[in-house]
Amino acid sequence: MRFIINQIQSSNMADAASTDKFQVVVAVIAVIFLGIVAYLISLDFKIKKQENK
Amino acid sequence: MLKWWKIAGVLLVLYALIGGLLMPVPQLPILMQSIRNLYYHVPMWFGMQTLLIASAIYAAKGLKSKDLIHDIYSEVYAKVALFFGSLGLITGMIWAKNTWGAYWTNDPKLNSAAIGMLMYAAYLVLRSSIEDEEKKARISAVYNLFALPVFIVLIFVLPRLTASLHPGNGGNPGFNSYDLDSRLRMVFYPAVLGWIFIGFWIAELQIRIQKIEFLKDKDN
Repeated sequence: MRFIINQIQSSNMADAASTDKFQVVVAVIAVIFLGIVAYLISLDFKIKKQENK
Repeated sequence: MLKWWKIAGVLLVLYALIGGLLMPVPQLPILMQSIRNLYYHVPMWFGMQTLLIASAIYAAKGLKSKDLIHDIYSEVYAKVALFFGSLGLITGMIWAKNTWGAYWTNDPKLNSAAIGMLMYAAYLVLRSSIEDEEKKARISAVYNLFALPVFIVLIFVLPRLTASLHPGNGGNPGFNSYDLDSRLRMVFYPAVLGWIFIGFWIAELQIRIQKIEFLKDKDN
């Protein structure tokens, strides 16, 4: 994590990345992806139940 | 408990999504910050190609064993590959608009990609047009085995023989010769691996659902 933060600070995107708006965009993308992952995990366990039946 | 490669896929893609937007990239003329799309557009195509290879392998297995389960694998891998291909196409079109000025240009790689994807769309149409399961499995497996080499020629060989806007094609230098500091590789390779794992996870779920239905039908 520290490595990524150091990389960001030296990045050309540092100015953009330091703005609240940009961080919100990154956070929203991460949340959408994690939502999809949560759906995949729940589907995985539901299928497992069906397979065990 | 989830298998290791599923967890790895999630972590790698999450790293690529966040790192891809925030980590430093080389400042290349024209491409500028749009080069970050390399972390999304290209890995999705890699995911598609890996899934298509898996689809062809199961098509060959199905032809050899005549087991309809192999046909399920082959079909699902092709479907998920098409989904990844569509994502790759959309991200590529957005990138093209920002660097080449148009969503679609008369670039041989773009046209070849479109033909290749239509070929696999035709594979799905072919499947839905045959009712007998065994006949469907056999004919679509043969089609699949012919489609893969044609697709590879269309994507990797033809664009290299003619002038192309894509890097690494038609005499253009590839990203390797631009990117000497390897900053892109730190996100690019994990992204490729991550999207491949996620692709196989989605396919695996679909396969398991179809297998349950197949076994239910067999029992009835």
